[in-house]
Amino acid sequence: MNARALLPAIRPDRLIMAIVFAGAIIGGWVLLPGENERVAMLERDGHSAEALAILEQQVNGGDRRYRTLHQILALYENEGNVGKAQAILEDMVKERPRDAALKRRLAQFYKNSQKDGAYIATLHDIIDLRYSESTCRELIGRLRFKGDAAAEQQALQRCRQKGYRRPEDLSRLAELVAADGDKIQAAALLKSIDDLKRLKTTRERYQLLQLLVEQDQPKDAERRALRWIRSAKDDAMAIGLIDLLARSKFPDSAIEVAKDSGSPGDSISLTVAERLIEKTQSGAAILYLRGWLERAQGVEPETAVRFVDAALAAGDARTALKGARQFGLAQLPEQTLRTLAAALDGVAAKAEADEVRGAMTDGAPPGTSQAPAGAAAAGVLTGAQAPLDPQAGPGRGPLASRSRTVLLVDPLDQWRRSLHASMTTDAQRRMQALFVGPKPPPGYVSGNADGRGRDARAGARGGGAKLLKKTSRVLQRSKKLSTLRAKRRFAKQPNGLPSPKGQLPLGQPAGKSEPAGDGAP
Amino acid sequence: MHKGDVTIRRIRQVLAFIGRFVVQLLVLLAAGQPAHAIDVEFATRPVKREILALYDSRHEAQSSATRIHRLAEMPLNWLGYKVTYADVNGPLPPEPDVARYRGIVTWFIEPLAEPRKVLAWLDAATAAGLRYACLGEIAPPEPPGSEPFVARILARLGLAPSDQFVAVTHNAKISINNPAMIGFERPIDKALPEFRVVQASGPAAKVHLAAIVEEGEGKVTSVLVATSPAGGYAADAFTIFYDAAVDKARWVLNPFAFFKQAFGDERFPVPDVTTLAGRRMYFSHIDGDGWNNISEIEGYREAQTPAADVIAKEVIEPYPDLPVSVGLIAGDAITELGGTEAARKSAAKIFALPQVEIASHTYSHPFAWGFYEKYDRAAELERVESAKHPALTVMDRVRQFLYRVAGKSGAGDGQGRYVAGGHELPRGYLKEPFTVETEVKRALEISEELAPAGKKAAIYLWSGDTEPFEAVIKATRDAGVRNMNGGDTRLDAEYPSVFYVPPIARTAGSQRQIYAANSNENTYTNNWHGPYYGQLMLADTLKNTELPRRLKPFNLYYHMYSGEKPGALKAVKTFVDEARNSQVIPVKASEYAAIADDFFAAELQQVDASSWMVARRGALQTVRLDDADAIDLDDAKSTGVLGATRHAGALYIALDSAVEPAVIAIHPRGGNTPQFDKGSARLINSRWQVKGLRREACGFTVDAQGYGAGDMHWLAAPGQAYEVQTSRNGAVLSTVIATADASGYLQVRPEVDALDPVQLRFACHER
Repeated sequence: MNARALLPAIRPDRLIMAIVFAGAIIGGWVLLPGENERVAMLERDGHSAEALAILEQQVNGGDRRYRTLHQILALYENEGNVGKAQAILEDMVKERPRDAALKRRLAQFYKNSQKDGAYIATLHDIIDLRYSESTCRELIGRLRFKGDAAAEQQALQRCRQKGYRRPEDLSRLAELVAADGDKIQAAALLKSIDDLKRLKTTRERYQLLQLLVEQDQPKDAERRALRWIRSAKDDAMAIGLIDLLARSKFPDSAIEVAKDSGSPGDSISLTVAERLIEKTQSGAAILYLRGWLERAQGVEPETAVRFVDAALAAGDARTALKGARQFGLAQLPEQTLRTLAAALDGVAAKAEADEVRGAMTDGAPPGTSQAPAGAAAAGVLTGAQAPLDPQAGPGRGPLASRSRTVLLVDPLDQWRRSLHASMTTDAQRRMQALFVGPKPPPGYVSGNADGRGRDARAGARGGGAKLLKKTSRVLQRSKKLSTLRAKRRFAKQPNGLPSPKGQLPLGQPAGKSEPAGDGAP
Repeated sequence: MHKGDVTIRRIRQVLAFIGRFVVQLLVLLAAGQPAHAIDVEFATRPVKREILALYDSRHEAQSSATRIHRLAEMPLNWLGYKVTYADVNGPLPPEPDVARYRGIVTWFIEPLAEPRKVLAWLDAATAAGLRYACLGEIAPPEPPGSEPFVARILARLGLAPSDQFVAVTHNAKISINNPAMIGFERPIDKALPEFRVVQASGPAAKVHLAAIVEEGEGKVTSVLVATSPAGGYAADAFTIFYDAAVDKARWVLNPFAFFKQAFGDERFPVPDVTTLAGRRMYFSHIDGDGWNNISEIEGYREAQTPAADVIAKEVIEPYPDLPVSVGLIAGDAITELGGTEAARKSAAKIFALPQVEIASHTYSHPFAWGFYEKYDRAAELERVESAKHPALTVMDRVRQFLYRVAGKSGAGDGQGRYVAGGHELPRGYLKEPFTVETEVKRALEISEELAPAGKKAAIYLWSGDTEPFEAVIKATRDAGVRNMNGGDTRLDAEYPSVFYVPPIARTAGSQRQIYAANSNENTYTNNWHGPYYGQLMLADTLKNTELPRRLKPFNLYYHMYSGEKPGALKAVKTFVDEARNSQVIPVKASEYAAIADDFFAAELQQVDASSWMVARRGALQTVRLDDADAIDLDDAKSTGVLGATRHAGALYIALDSAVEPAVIAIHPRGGNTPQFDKGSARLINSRWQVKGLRREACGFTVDAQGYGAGDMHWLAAPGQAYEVQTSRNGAVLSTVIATADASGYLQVRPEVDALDPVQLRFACHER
């Protein structure tokens, strides 16, 4: 029998059926769940032990497929087998060195298992493999928090080379570099940030300005200072910048900035006169002051005090009196009035001096003894609200004398206080800094922190109120922001930790509840 | 006789008479003189332990929210001080009250409303001799006219203020840096923070950190951290370092060293809340959250076992030698509120176990206790309404549908209208209006109803934000139970600072809440988002709070929902195993809370140069003497003392609760181990609590109580064999022979159940 004889017995339809049937068997065979699918099904059904046994067998048998390793890793983590999970994950990363996602997973694992050194090393690896701003930020933050300045600086430089441009961190790099003494690079860094108009904090601006004047770049310093002043509309910062320039090798720059940024009759333009006085150009200062007074309108008490102080410092008591009358004698603090009266006595203007004294609350001539500070304080513990020593004025002791000297020679104390205020990054500290630090001249009585001036009789109002008001508005906004940040920070971490507000409620699995984020710091 | 001879004889008689008279007079005078010259009288004086902390409630609303509480109080507690808070916006303590304080601490940064008042008070208080530790500014904003006050206050610290402020610091350099005081957890930042110039005005100030900056032709040196016999000063930016990027803080200043020097570093026994009978305390407590959650763990999932049953089976029942306090949420067991009958059954089963201490984890599980301080039921019901109908996106609805199809509960899909599905509502069970009485008293009653007759609830465990208000804390005291929770200690790579180790307690008004000693699993698992094995990292916190200083006992604290996930269960089991196998003393949570409470009650008196009396100590039975390498306990002169052990350079002295007050005497440490005769012994450490040490002619007896097999270590008579008989109510439970080695070291391990008190008699055994 030959094949030809057989052929008519095989019908075409049956052949086709057989082929389809074979195809179905082969297809079914292919579609049968493999080991990985079996494992997934076992996992889903809660038979983790069996699933793990299968996977371990596969892995020990040489199965290094990603899917297998991923499954076994998940099971180890689920079971809390941290050591084995770590080993698997590290092997996976070794075998796939270019897989950035895997490296990130390894990094997160190290973070969860608190292997800080390995975590940081992995962050370095991730950056080497593929630049990521978030990874750079995390790495730099970790190193900074540890206090490893050298490593932080290195990481900053490396990330910057790769394209990291986060202004806060570059500014931080500038600080570190400046601390190393490389002021050129520090200035270049800050300039590069500022040129993109992103140098926002007062501290950064002051630092750049200081670096520029140290590097004999007064014109650049003036230009930037003017730009900042015009954009920020922050008198405290403006005056602080001007003060910084005034104390540098380029005091004329201070005058230029003051002229260009102030308006006639405002507090900033008054600095011109004060600068002239510093340069012992009293005549010019007097002329300026007279001109300034003609244009002054709606002057705040602290500016009024500055005017009077400046006029007295320039030796023009009558202009000082004119200004005082214009602003209102009652607006001025006791000490200023006392000094003005003494100056008027000095130019034989007794009637005017008496007029000024009449505006004082006690009307006492200077030199009148008052209760010593000790006696005032002695009653405090008994509950009496003893006022502070009101005799913080001239002629009352070495401290007062020194303050008097400060008053006469350095009328810019308020600006130094503003400088102090502006330099602090923390808004809350800024409010405190506004009053602490460089001490105001005696008799200078600042307003309250919120800028609301109070009765001069209580000695709580006076110079700086407008400045403080404006600044305090800025600070209030900043404070709100920082309070919000603080609330977020501390609510998340009531004792620094994200719990126990995150305690789960009753019978609910995790995943949806968030810690209450509105707790007080 | 010649007339001259008579005269001479008479003169001699007169002189002799005068001489005898003078001698007799001298004798009389001498006899009447007391021997003042040699005797040194030491008047017993109290050891002041109270520190007054001033704070500004305008910026830090409650004392427990202040920097001082969160940062400074723990080191102060560790040094033996208790902190009392006074709000500067209210009346400050008058003079008679001020005398009871050892010192004052302030940490002001924000401006005060009445700085003059604070300055004047501080001036007077420091003039009266109170030590003063100033962190930050003295009284910002230090208005004009305040300079003399500031100058005087700082002068007492050996410092002088100036009107200078260094804002741009890249030209400033550190000139003095004492590593023992600075760089505690982080070095000074390379980019120096800005600082106010303060100068040393005399030799009294010991400068630990100073910076120098060029100013014109000269240089200005500023003191940044200093201490003196009158206190201490630390500029604010040089205390802690906070980094916004990682949102964490670390100490730059060494707070232990700073406060020790600022408040006087003379030695006194510090009441200790970490140690008992010479061992670190171990206690465990479980909050009832997730009681009814179905476990996903293989072997339990198929049977739909609730998480609480898993915990009972895996972690409680197999460990009868370890106590655990279980806090039931009453609502979980009240079907009318949304609870289940199964929960009642499992609670009854758990509470019946002898090692379980009955506790309550509230009635309705408030999340935000502040909401209930001024409770408004209408406002609460409004929230219930809005939570019931939250604004759901299409995807949310699809997801909810899929969850329901899959038989799982999803977001916003609570168990009922009055059962919270998450934190959107202020408490878990809202069906009934909130009352303090129900929340506390009724909750405790429900726990007790499910317990065997006579077994009482002993502790109330706070829920949610664990910031209960005064009235509700008082309710727990009135109910006769201790209260605890909050705090959340972490000290590990993720929280690498003692900043995250809380103090012993927090106050709300006149009431005190004891903080738990460790954190629960929430902080390790991202608030139960995973990794669920996270609490395995507790090991680092336990290690770091043991050395270099023992800051906290070993507290295993978790929720019932740890029985849901295999990783979480493994973590819990890891630590119960560790507690079983390590040298700790297991105590109940309520016992720890009692010891913590009594930290504040204990009174110390210095009897003489080397001995102190400890009175009113209640449950607190350990005091600690630091830097004790050169001293040892003087057993002969001490009373009410069981023994002593050393750890990390400190001497932990175990007191006998049967003796009140106790007197602790010390003497220089000899080179050899102290030797004891046959009738005396010193306890080194014990796994059981020990009291009532009675010395006999040959041997000694103690009463003991505790968990698991007893494991005691003593110093006794060298080479002496003892028959150690353990008995209860006259019935002998066990007898073993134990022999002290050549140095007197004696270990005994009575294998008896000492949950009820037993007596151990160590009688000399002659072989």
